[in-house]
Amino acid sequence: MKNLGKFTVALAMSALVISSCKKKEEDVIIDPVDPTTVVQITDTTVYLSGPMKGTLLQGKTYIMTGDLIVPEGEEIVAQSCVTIIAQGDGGPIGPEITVHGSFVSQGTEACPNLFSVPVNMRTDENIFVGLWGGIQCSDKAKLVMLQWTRMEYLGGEGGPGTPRAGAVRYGLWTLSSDTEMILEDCWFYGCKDDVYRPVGGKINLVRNTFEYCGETGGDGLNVKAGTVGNIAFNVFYGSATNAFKPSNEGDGTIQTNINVYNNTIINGGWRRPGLSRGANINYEVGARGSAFNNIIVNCKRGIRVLETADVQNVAVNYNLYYASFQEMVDEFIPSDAVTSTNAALGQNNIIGSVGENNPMFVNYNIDQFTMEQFNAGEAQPSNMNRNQGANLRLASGSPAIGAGTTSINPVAVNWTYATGNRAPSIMTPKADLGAYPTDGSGNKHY
Amino acid sequence: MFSNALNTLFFIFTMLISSVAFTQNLTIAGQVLDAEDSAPIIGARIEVLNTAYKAVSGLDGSFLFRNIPSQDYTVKITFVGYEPYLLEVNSRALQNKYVVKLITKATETGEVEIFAVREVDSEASARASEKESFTVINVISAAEIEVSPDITVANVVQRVSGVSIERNNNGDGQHAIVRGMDKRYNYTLVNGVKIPSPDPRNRYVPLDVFPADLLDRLEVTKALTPNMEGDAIGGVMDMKMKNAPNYFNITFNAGTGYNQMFFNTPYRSFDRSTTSRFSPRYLNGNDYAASTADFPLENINFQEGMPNPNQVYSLSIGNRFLNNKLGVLVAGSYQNTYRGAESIFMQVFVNQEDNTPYYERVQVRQFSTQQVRSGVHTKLDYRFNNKHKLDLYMAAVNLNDFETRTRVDTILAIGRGQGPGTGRIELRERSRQRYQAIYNATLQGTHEFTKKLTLDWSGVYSLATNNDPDMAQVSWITAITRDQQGNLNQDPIMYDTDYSRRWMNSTDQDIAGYGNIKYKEKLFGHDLELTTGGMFRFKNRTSFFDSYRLRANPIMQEWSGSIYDGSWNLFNRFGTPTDPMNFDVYENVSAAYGMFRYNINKLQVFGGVRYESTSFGWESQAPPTVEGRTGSIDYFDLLPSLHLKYSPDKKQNIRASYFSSISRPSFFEVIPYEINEEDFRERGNPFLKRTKADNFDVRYEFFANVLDKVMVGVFYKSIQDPIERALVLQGQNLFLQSNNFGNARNLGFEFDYTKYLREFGVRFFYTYTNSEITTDKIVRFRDDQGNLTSRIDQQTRPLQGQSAHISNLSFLYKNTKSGTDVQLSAVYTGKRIIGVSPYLDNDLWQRAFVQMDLSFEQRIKPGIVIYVKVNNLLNSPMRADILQPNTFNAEQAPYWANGDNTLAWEDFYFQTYLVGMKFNLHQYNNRPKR
Repeated sequence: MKNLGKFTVALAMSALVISSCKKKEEDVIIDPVDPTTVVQITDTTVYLSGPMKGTLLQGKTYIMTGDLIVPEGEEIVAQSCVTIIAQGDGGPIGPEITVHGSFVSQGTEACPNLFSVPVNMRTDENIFVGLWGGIQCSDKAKLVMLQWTRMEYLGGEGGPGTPRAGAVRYGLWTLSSDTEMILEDCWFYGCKDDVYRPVGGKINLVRNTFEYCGETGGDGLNVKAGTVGNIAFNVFYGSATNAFKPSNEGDGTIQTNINVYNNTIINGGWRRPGLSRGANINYEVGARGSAFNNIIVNCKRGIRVLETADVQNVAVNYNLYYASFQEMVDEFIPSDAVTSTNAALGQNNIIGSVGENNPMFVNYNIDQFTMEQFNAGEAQPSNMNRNQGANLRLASGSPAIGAGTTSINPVAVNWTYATGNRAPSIMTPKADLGAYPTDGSGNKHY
Repeated sequence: MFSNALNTLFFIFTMLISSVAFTQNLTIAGQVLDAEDSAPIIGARIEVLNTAYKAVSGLDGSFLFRNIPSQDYTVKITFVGYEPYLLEVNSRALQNKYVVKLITKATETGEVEIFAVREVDSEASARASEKESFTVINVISAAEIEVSPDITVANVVQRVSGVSIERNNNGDGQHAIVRGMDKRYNYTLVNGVKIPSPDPRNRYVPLDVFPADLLDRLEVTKALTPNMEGDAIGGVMDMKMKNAPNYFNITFNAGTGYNQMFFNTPYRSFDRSTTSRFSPRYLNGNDYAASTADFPLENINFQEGMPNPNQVYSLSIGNRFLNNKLGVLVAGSYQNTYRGAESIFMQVFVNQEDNTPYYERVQVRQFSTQQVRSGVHTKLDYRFNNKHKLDLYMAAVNLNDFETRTRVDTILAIGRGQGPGTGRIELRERSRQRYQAIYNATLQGTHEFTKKLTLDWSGVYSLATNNDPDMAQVSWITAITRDQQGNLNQDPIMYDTDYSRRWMNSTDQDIAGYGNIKYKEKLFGHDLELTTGGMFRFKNRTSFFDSYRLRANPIMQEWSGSIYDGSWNLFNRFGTPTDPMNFDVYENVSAAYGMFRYNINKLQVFGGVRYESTSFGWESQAPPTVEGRTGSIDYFDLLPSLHLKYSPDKKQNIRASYFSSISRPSFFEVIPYEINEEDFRERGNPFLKRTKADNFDVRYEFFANVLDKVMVGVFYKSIQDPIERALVLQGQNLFLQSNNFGNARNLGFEFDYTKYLREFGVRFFYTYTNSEITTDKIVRFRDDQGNLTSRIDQQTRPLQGQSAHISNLSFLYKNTKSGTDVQLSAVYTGKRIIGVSPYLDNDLWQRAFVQMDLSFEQRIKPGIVIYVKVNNLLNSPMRADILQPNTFNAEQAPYWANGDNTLAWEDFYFQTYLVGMKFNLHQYNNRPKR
């Protein structure tokens, strides 16, 4: 009995000791970021790398030696005639601009900006190599606005620790339906995969030119759920799969709603193996919007509306289709989505047979390529995928002149960050089809 | 389906019993019992002297002579270790049932008895353990396992009341669901010591790693006591491994067999010889730029053929040395088996218009899997005297899986414009190799200092490894289109753009110590036992992941029929060093408890409190600019429990128990990682709380004799913060994340019945479980403005893996005289959720099914037995539905009758046959000599 007493006391004591050593029932510690100071860009700044903020000055050339990071709440503004050379750190993975805040490039027609790689690397062999990572946004990013800016040799592998580490980078990537993306009068030349993949966002893409985009997959604009805005007066040469693909794939509370109008899309959809791959404008998985006043020339198939799209809210009308070959004519109404495309198809599209309804570009040999050349993969002729002296303005007498509608309004977007002098140019449709209406109000390139 | 199975069972059972004749002359019936404890004696020899009539007592000790000439007889009953007994039978007596009580021979010395290990591998001892236990447990003995159709522990657990199993791709059991509680809520022990898991993300141990023949018994504890680790809400599986026998013995088993599938379908294999077990980055460092030369093509060069026959071997050698002080047992097991599955999986998308499911693509899949399972264990025990002993246990178990998955996908959402039979087709072929291993070394000491004070301690080192090297999946694309004449034409087969190779390995190392002190005293004239003790465990876990992408170069390549004609460029030469699956974690758990047991006549009161402190920390490979690259979580728990056991007599127990327990989050889900893919976005959740539960059990047990039992019980669990993976809405975006979901409850009823009647036995259990959890779900709908949008609704449903009804019915026939054992087992698993959808009313429900297994054993000579085991006798399919109709494209699966449900998954695994021979040296040497 004596022993028992001792034992009990010992037990009680140990319980007491144990319970007194911890007071809080649960304690979670998430170690914060290493305190790094954000570098202010000054008059003497030449090299860009790491977290920075400030203004890139007019006419200056900057060298990106590593990933340039715009931290949350900060911004970088490039004035006109700014050149950024994505040189990297000598390693095999090209740098990128990672945006958690805002990035604005204010090129002008007279004085555009250039974001590219060192001059000696700007070769035809490097078109699809993916030499640097363009602009990669986290879901905290507010605004990316590029005006009169040329971006080249984009894509490639994301470096360690970046949002797309080990995966293919798109030229531009946004992740939040609150991020705003404004691309006006820009050139995109050479991109390994999608030029821009918005996983949600507010977008205004007008008067841009896309060349050599998508090595063997990849779209000009591959829109996922929660994206709203307008795509107008763009010229697209030789997309790998689709030029513009609105989709509502993914989850969120905002439906993808995109109007695609007054664009000129030529030679698209041929670099992706597989049936049913490659259209030019492609509505799918719950997306809504209108495709009108576009000129579609020698694409793998016509504007397509898949049955998974929000078909009742998709309209395809006032577009002109041209094809040099019967294979293309057969797919004006894509054979894999006849019912749903027809359901969205209006009465005023200009659709004929081989060689019919030539839009009569001012300077472009519209029938210059053979079917073999379209199907040649990376051996496609270069002028199929970029402008080599072509002028896609409409000659007088073109059936595209005046054939469109001006009564469809652009999708209304409620801009939060792109306001004041950063407000986007909202383009109303023009009755002349394609990116170059005869009044000269459209695309300014070439 | 179920009634079919029952009919079959009934038929077979009728066949079995029709062998018993129903003629009448003189009948002598009796039962042989142990005089001491009235336990039935199985296998006693019964001879009617001066006649040719002989019998052997059955499972319940009974014997029967029918239709013998009516006269007086003397019947002699003998059994090894007992005094012979002579029974006088008077033919005119009215008595027709004789009870014979045999007395133990008094020749053996007490000394040896004390040193001898109680043989616990028999069924009778399993029942005794259940009966004598202080708490709610179920036990399956080695003898039961041996005659069962099961060769892995995962399949054995489904014979335990209240347990159902979750199966792998080949329909073989893998994880246990205890009383409807998912695998995350249970833990696994070897000899009472918790073992780490080779799983790269989770804690639970895959039970199919363990060969069943290494087990002495399997104990499933459903009510925790303070001396047990407190992190189980469902139950604890404790694999008690074989002990050294009291005598020199060798047992050996060799078997071979085949899976029915490979008589009809070729087995697809690949060459593993050039596969590197580690990724180029792991071997050469983060700065190494890999090239295509690092990716040999042998493991994507697939061959077809018939697999070799399955092979199953086990061997155990045991003896006692040094005047019985040192016991040694070495046991090994090797199983090399080939399995497969034929599967159709409908990839389902949730309609954004009205939240209903529709088919996006149909995947016709075939699995070919080789599993090489091996285990070695050694158990040494040294008994200094009857007060002090040391046990050393060492084990290594391995499971190597080699799997080929062939998939033919037809895309239904795009390109089906030309109708059924046409469309885009993706061909995918994947090879996977996985090497899982668990190593454990445990040194245990037991010391009785005085009659009142005993101490035991354990020192443990364990290591679990998972090596999943170079999983490679190649894809090709083709299409079938209709030409203008209406003929179907297939396009050439082209390589798809990219394919991937990935390496994954993880190690989990535990160093642990346990100590318990027990003190016995009389209090108010009754036995009081006080126990206190503690434990610590330092765990370190490392996970490593690399994925490489190869891109066809040139882009357009037609399939020539040989993979060696293909050419690719390596896209990411440096692997994926910052992938979230590259992480290290530690977890230090320390615990102390105090526990008492007090016997007041027929009532036993048992309880106490346990304190557990957990310190967890992580380090990911994210760059220093990422918040939450490192962090820690610390907490403690106080877990009380109380167990009452009332035994009105020796045959009955009434138990009531309460215990409080927790379940810790898995290792990976709490690290604050981010994955951003357009169709799925994932986040870790460091604020994930451990689940806590209050568990109540009441059980009535009746043990009619040493083999028969009836158990009836109810349980109730109130679960706080259950963990589920679900979509979480943040702003406009949805993320997949593990989260706590309020409170859940789980209640149920268990009935467990075993009855033997001479050579026949029946084992039956039925468990009803009803659990409820309410979680957030997405509803896709069109709003008033005509836009497609989503909202979050709550849905109440059962816990994942919980069937309302599960049941197991086994018929046994055991003729000790002829040495025949037959067991026919049917497992019924009611419908259950096997996939929780983020969308309302889109969970995937597995249909109720019956799986039937058969085993047959025949003794050739004492110690030599041949056996046949047939698994999945009925080729029961696995089918799973979404419980609402596909209103969009149900016709895309025209061969399935879709009614109110959308059938999404169907697998066939086919029958597995095994024949073999077992040898037991001890039994052979002790065979009756003529």
